[in-house]
Amino acid sequence: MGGWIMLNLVTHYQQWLAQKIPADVLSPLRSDAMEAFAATGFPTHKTENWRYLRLTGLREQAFEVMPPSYLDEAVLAPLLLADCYHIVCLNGFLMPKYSQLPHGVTLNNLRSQLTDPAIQALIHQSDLSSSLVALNTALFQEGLVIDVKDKLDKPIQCLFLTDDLGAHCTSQQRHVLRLNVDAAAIIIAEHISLTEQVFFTNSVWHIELAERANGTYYQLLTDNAKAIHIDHCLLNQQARSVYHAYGFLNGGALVRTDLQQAFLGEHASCTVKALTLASGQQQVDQHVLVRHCVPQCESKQCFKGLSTNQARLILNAKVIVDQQAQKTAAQQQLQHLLLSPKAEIYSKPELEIYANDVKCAHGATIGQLSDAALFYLKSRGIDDARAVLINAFMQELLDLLKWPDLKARISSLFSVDA
Amino acid sequence: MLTIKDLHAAVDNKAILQGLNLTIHPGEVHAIMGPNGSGKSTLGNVLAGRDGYDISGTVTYQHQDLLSLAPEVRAQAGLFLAFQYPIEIPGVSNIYLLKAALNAKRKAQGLPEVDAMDFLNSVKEKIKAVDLDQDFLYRSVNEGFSGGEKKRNELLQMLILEPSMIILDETDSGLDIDALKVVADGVNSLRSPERSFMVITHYQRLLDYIVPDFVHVLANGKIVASGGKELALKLEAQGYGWLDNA
Ligand SMILES: Nc1ncnc2c1ncn2[C@@H]1O[C@H](COP(=O)(O)OP(=O)(O)OP(=O)(O)O)[C@@H](O)[C@H]1O
Ligand SMILES: [Mg+2]
Repeated sequence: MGGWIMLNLVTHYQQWLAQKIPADVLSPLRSDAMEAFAATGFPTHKTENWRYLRLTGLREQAFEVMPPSYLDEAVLAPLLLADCYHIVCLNGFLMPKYSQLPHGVTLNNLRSQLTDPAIQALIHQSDLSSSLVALNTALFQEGLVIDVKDKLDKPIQCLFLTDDLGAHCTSQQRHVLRLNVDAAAIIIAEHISLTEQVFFTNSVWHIELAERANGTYYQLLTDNAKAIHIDHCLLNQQARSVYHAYGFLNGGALVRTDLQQAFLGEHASCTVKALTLASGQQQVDQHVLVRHCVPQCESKQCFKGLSTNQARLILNAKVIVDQQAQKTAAQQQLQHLLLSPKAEIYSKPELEIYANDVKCAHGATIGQLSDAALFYLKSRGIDDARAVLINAFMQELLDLLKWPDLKARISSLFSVDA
Repeated sequence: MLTIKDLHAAVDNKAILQGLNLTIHPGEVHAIMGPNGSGKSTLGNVLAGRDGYDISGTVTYQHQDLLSLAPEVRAQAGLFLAFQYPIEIPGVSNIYLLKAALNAKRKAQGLPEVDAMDFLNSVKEKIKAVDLDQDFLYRSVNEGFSGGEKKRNELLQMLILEPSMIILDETDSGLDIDALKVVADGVNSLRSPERSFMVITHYQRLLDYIVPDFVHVLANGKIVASGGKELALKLEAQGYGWLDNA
């Protein structure tokens, strides 16, 4: 039965490719990608790297192509952060009318750039052995190409909205973010549902940092409780570039994020910090792979995850230090709080070191709230001791949100019923 | 103030308190002494409402059935335990805890939240009294504090909350001579006809500074001897051995 459904869905997406995706320069790659996807279908518990994620929700329903829609300014206004530039996408389609950027940035629709050899080269980096990347490669239509040439004075808020027309549909998005030599930008990528219904977003990002570029990328996933969200990011860093990835994951029924990073030039640094709250029946799966291919780079990871109710939280954070990557400094810290007896956490820090002159450290904890600390607070008259401790656990990462209205919005989503 | 009758407490079928009786009137200072493991901290914990004990007996605090109250309600009603081993709470700043604790008490009394400026001024005054640097206000509660700093921090909380029934569990242990004076001055500054103290200590020297009205010896989960301040001197000179023969 399951097999039949899967085959049927694969046929469903194959038909899409044949009928709905116009032929373009990528057609040969797309048909390879579709073949790769058809060979495996969606990952199962037998697929390495996907074993703890139950993708039943994805395997048992057919999603249609997400259509463009109309956005009411009154709906948008409260979502826009003050003192930011904006890019707004609705159902995966760029809304140029609402996008506002400074001179140092160019924004293009990916479709108009497919003949650009540099873009083609990026897209050919897609790892087709991952069936969701393969599916995206076969089917993606829309996407952003953001090129930053200067040091920007304000962050760019990228809003990804999905409305009722997107219900029971999928949007396969492909985005490119490039920071030129010496450029600097803060991107706040925020996913917000304007519908209560299920939808399936499968996006792939290519992020390229040229020499001495400085990028900060906030990923705020706050989709509705039924949403399925899969996000792959391929990040390449040239010499002396600096990258900060800050993730805040909360919301969605099934969330999977992959960050695949590589240091390609020396003296670069990459910091990944993420706060994840899995609640209800949610499954949230984060995979991070940082690869030190060259000497003298520095990577830092700090994850804080909370799982409550019957939720399942999965984290795999891996650092590979290649043999030639001497003088590498790598740090990993994974901290988890298990807040209810039925909640689950699968956490795995991995350091694979092939060089000998390196400074690497990692630590992982899964714990519960300390009874001693709870009693101490209560003995001082504190009524909501549980909430105080949970907030204390999260605070360090919530403090990364430097914009008061954004911090308030995200903090409220991260409140746990005490 | 506090009336304890036939109090028993056990953990995993291990009896710790075994029929303890004690009455403390308003304004009195009671010292509790006794060998290691006799149940002194357990008494403090049970009174403050720590769970995990099988308890029987009655405790009346200001005409209320203390044992039926949640620990935070006991605290809001003016009961305060200075811990023998204060707990570190990473991520919660000292000043936050002080303010939240004070406001919780005020709320229970039907008072409005404390004015932020008044509060800050009073905290700065009181932190001087316990001889801690102001930086401690902005550090996480007890995190990385030395043993003595933790004890001073307990005193700071006491000075700010101005509780009615104060239990000090070996607040003098691990303190240098100067710090002992600080503890004693802190306690003495709060002594009043409406406020009572239970001072758990191993050392007579604290009682030179905080002069008790009564001294009790707790052994095997019971009060086995009670007397005036001379009893502490006798214990200091003779230890607890003579009590076995008594
Ligand atoms: N949670 C517990 N589980 C098991 N045993 C306990 C527990 N709490 C206390 N005890 C035991 O009960 C006895 C009394 O402990 P308590 O801490 O009250 O002693 P104390 O009089 O405060 O000693 P000290 O002078 O060393 O501080 C000890 O034997 C201790 O090991
Ligand atoms: Mg003790």
